[in-house]
Amino acid sequence: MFDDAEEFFEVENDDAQAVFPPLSAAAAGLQSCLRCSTLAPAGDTQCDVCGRRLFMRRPQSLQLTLAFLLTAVVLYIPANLLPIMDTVEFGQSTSNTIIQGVLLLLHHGSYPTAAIIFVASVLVPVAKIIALLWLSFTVARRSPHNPHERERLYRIVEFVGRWSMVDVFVVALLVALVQVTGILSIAPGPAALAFCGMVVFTMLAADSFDSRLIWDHAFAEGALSHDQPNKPKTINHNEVKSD
Amino acid sequence: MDYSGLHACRTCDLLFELPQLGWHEAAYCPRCDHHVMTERPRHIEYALALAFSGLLLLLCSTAYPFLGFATSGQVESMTLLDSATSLFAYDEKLLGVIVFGLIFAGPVLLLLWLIVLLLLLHYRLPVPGLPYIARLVHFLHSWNMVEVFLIGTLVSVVKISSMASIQLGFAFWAFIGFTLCTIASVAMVDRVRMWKDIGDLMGTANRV
Ligand SMILES: [Zn+2]
Ligand SMILES: [Zn+2]
Repeated sequence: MFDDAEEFFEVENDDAQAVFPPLSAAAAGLQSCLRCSTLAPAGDTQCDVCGRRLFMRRPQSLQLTLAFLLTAVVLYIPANLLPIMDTVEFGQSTSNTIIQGVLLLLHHGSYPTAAIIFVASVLVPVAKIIALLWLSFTVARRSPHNPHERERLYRIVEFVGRWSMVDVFVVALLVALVQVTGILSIAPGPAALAFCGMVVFTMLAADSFDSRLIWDHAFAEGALSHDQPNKPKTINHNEVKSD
Repeated sequence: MDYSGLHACRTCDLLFELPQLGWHEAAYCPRCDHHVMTERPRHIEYALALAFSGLLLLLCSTAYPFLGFATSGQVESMTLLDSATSLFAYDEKLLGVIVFGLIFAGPVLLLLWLIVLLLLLHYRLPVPGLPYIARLVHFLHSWNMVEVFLIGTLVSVVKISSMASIQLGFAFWAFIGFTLCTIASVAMVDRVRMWKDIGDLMGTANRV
């Protein structure tokens, strides 16, 4: 995602007082670069290999996540209340919001398409915002519970982020497609840009969240045993074809 | 100090020893199961071939009709770029620019810079700009949404097919090919492997 979001906000690195859990790179006095995974000693400010700014934990991670989430929530309101498309047919104009569009698809019997749009445009954005709010809340409370589940949730949020964009592309395509017919015309509504902005800001929010914070507190409270195996699991994906 | 054998998981910060992986072997974090890296034989050459094909297919798909409508015996069709430019006609300039960036400018730049990066890695040329090119590829990749656009195309076709018969143009098939090539090409290049190669080439790895 936006790799250097925090660099635009000129925030201070407040790692100095932090206590890091055993077995983490931070506890060993090492910073791992978020872009290239190169290790550098604490105190270095810039990665030798890729030039990215270094830190133990993303500075102001929660504040940034919440700021981006708030923007996304504000944009979510016009994205759903205003029309996303205006259809003009035989001189008659009808405006449709996202939900009305889904209902129209259901009415026409295209259930799979209605499901895609409903999940991608209505369900996923709300679920994403709630999930990130909850993750930030548990980290702010220094919750030691269920780090594996929270990590998985975060990864799902990160993965589905871009898929909400599907409705914006549908609007763009329908506008262009219908323009060539001449009988009917579809104009993009104000919700399209608001929706696009909402998707971008939830993606920025997910990117600002430092998932290592989940594990720091889980460790600190002893919810994880300290005798983790320190050998990575390896899986050979292609025994037969290997040469 | 030499950290070359050590690796910190990027999602949970667990420090562990990363063993020498064999071909097609993947390593996962012992604690959170996050994928660490995969070694693929001749990944640079495969990725290069796929990126070239993807770029050609994308350029093809802008030159031919994308989707068409059969109205009163005539076929009217739109091109791929019409989906961005027709937004300008309705004064949605910002949205038009975003869509243009996501479906055309972004992918073209991604593939072009990926090809440059892969060529430099293939011929092992430590040019000073190499890390910057890799950073650019990284950034463009993280905002790449071509597969989302492809699903959007399918949804639009279903949505409109109740009104008129839709014809899938040559550009549509080329775009599917481009999407598959781009995804495959980017997936071929392992993030950790790529930066290790760049670090070795530039002499910046484990300088401490
Ligand atoms: Zn780095
Ligand atoms: Zn991990």
